Amino acid sequence: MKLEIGLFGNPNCGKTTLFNELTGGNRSVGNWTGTTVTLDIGHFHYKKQAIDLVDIPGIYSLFTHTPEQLTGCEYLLNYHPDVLLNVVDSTNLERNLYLTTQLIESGIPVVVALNMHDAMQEQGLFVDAKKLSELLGAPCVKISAAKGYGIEKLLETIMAVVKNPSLCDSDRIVNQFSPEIREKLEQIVAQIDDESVPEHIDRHWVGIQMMKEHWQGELPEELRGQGDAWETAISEERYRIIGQIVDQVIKVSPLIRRRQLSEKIDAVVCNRYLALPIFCLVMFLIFYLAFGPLGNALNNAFEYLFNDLIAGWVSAGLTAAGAGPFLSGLIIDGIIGGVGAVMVFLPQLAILFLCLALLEFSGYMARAAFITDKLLSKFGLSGMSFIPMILGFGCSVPAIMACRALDNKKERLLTMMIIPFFSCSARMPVYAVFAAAFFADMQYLVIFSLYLLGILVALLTSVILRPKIMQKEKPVFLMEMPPYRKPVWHCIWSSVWVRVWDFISRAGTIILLASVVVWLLSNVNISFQMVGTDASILSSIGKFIAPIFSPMGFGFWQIAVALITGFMAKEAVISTLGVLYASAAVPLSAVLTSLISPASAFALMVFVLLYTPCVATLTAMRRESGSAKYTLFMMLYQLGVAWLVSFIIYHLINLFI
Amino acid sequence: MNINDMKPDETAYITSLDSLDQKTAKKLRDLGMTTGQHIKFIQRAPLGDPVWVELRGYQLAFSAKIAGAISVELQRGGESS
Repeated sequence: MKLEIGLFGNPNCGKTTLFNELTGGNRSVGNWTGTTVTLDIGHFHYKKQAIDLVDIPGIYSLFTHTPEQLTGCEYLLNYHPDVLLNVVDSTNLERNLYLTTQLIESGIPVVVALNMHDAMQEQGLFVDAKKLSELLGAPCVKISAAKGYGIEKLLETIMAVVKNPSLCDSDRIVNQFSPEIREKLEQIVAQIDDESVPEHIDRHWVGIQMMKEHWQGELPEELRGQGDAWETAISEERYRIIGQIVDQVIKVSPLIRRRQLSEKIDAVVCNRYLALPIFCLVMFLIFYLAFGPLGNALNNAFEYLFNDLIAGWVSAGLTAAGAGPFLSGLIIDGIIGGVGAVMVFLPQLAILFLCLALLEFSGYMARAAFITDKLLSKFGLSGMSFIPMILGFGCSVPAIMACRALDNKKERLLTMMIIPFFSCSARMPVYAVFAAAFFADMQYLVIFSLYLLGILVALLTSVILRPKIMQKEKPVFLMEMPPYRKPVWHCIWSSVWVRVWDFISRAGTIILLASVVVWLLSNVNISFQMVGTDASILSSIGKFIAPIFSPMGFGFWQIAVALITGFMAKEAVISTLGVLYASAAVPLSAVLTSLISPASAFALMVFVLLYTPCVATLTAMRRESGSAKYTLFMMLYQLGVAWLVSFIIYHLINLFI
Repeated sequence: MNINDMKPDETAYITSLDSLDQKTAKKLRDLGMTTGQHIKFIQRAPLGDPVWVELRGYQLAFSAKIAGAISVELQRGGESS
């Protein structure tokens, strides 16, 4: 029998770190019926027992209306996890235990992992885990997920609870509620229709929930319409009990003040006068590291590796094996030309992903959101949108997922609509090739201006669409400011690796397939005879679309085809151009410069920046917004904006330069 | 007075969340902002909004609009809870 564990915890409690520590990154994505979002499931073995670990998004409470919190509730009601594993930040015990108490009441056995045990000791705090286990009615184990401390004991405890669920007591907390609340709770519990509630869920847990609107119909007259007062009373009662528990289990060493270092850093980083300059410096530094001399040098090394070394070896090998022109053309120009054109950018992307991971893990991202909130409010957004926006520079898909942290549905939608304008890493190969070919003296300036243009269009879009989407609602900011944390390298590495691997596997699948298809279609005609590219199937398709781009001076069928393949993945624009234009004798850049003017090249980059995002982004948008209408609208809007802005910029450049 | 009237390092206790809409009040209560709870004012953002406070051993930032709707009473001595 497989064991199923539901992994719960507040945001910033180290849940993801523990997930990776336990599963070693072995995960799959599960689509749960009844839930609106997909959940990660990790797989691992402990003492020959197969275990599925279901990662529930970070939440502060089970009983509210944001999408993550609904997921938590739905998961408890509709599935039968054997145990709930609740990760708790020990340095922030009081607030973390709020969720713990709700989980314990559910009636499903809970094991509490008291995480960040090491950080707690540094702060001079001591927690009595044995006493806490007793008071909560759930076993607590001290761990440090980042350092791998206490994991063995945690797993042992979980297995013990599976064997003997009576180690947990779901009533321990409820029994401490005040007599008035308990009396009322019993009154409500008596009204519960047993048919409507799954057997594994404790009736008290349901009773606490029943005062919410959608249950109201089942309640007797005298209890209806008191939901808000009831929720307030329960919240305050919960915190009162937790306060008493924490007082009994935490011992403070009086000599060391908490968060000392974190506060010192914030005194500088969030200083009234220094905050904005430091923020700009951090952003510039990331850009400079990825696209400056370091990134460029690595990029050249990879280019040499793919285009000279590997292509050379393979070509020599093919000749030795006596391969015909069709096969060697397919492999050298099709596969290596296409995939290689994209792969050379891997080092630069890895640097970018590393910087984003550092921002996220260190705690600076929350400060950046805090600092930029007021600025973003001028554009109808809030600082809450900042994190998804900045993640958009890496990849739009995780950025759109990160919008779940915004609990205002309309603000979430608005943020999702503008994210694709933040230039994702897949677009970078396109800029790099064109900037190097056309603007060798000012590559950085050109690439930087594209990133800025993306931000500008995103903000303008927000201003334009906000009145329609948000109506009169104003976004509000509400965010936890976690203390700064020392980067834990293996966590950062695994986060970077997931994204780097995603890029590599895309190069090996979508890009590879697109390159082969493009090469084949560009070398055969409708009767499947091998012909020159001008007579190929692809050229007929391209020639049909190309006139749309004539006003910007890049109305060539090869470019039109490249843009179509860019719909699969934006970096495919370059791999396709590589297949269609480049040959061993003439590099892509030489072909391009002989074909179009610098103004056209810039307009083309602008078009690639702004036009309809890739299929993966649209799919994520469709799933997360739950609206096909908005997804379609966004697709068309971006196509229109891309053409229009590209057109305007092309003519502006021609006018002034 | 409300949270917007507080200065850095001042400590106060929450007297009421009633001026907030139900949804926001509920969210804040889940985060530990219950009546009677002590909070310490850390700072305002460089551009004046949002505000940053400490409570129950952790720190939270929220819009000045929310801060203005939370009534507090200053605590003498200004010591942190």
